Amino acid sequence: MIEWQPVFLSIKVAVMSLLIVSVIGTGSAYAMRRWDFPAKAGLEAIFTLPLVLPPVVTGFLLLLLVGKHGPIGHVLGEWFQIQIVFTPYAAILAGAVVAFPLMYQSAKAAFCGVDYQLEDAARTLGAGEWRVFWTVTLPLAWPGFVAGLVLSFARALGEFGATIMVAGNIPGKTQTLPLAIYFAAESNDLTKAGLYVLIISVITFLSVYWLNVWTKRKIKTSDYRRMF
Amino acid sequence: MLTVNITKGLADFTLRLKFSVENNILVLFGPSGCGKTTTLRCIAGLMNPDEGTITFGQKVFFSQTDRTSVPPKDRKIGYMFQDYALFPHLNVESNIWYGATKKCSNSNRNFENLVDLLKIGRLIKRPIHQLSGGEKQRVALARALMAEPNLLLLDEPFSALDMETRLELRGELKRIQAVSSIPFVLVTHDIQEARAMADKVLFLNQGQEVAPPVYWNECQCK
Repeated sequence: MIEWQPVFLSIKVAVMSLLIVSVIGTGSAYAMRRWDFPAKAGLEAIFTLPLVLPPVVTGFLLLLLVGKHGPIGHVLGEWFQIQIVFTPYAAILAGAVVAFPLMYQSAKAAFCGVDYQLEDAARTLGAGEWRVFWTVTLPLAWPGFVAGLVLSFARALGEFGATIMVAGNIPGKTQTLPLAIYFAAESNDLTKAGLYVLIISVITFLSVYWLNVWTKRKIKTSDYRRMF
Repeated sequence: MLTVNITKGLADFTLRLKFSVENNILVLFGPSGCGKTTTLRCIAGLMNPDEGTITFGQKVFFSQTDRTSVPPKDRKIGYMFQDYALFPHLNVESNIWYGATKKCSNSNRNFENLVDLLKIGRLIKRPIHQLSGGEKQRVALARALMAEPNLLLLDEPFSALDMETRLELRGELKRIQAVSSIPFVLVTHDIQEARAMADKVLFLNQGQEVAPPVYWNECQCK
């Protein structure tokens, strides 16, 4: 029989990563669309890096940052007695970092599709920026935003390279599904590896399938279908 | 009274305008691209002029020397956009209520009055994409007035309408201005529209106030 701990840990890690990227990715995308500043192109390139860099490299860079002697890791260790590496928090961090570009790019594309004039109309009707975002920008960008959430969840769920670098492979503590698959296959336990592959494939397939069905239904029933 | 005295550098020319408007309809008349919409956007606070002042009564909306710029949400200026900018994800009723500060008996009465005045009672539950051009114009006007503005800006309000609807709505707009007794600033490049609507006309070309064009006095199309 297989152990269910990697399955539950992976789902927990993916959900927590999703919560982080949904806030930071959406906020960054909104800010990048709204304001112009000198280092914008450079910052945008940095935001996209985890998508194009090998995950192991991302993991290595994270290790340099949050490791015991890294600038963040040192501060957390010295001041708050918190260690991130080789804990489930490291897995969450790795998942969030690799999933961030997907959320950011999807949210940015969705926000860019919203007509500026509608936001201006809301402002002239007395709405502040917060209300404009929640009542006009986000509802109109919703399909792209949800697509970003689903892709980010799937990416965080399947993260391997960065996770093994910063969280390691500690069974019962930091072993997520992709790590469990790799080490089961390596120890020639193909049944166990196959079952894990089946589980992760089903979860990912259902997420993307739900997104497709939801998007199609949204386009069919939407009052603003002309926009698509 | 709205007083505008602004300068704004644009791609091809510099907009330099000085005018004021009392509780009547001022028409900004000029060819496309002469700075009419930019002027409205500056008044609404959606864009800042480079220099000058914009005041309404005692309130300073913009002053370059004092570094004052009141955000659009605090100006209480209604703006009817050229393509109406109705929120496509809300129905007619929610669009109209968007600008109301809160639901109370006063705003309920205001809503009912506007719906009656603009004859849109049968439309209130409809989604926006099911409205005709004239209906959209009425809903946009109701939405702008529901926020109880102190001034209404109208950017080419009749440009997307057929002649019959245009004539009908011109009359309605004049009537609404009389009822609400707030200043209206209307932008158009249509001479018939300008003559029909204006209490006062400001002729613009390349961002400057100019003399009335020759054909202005020849046209008897009011």
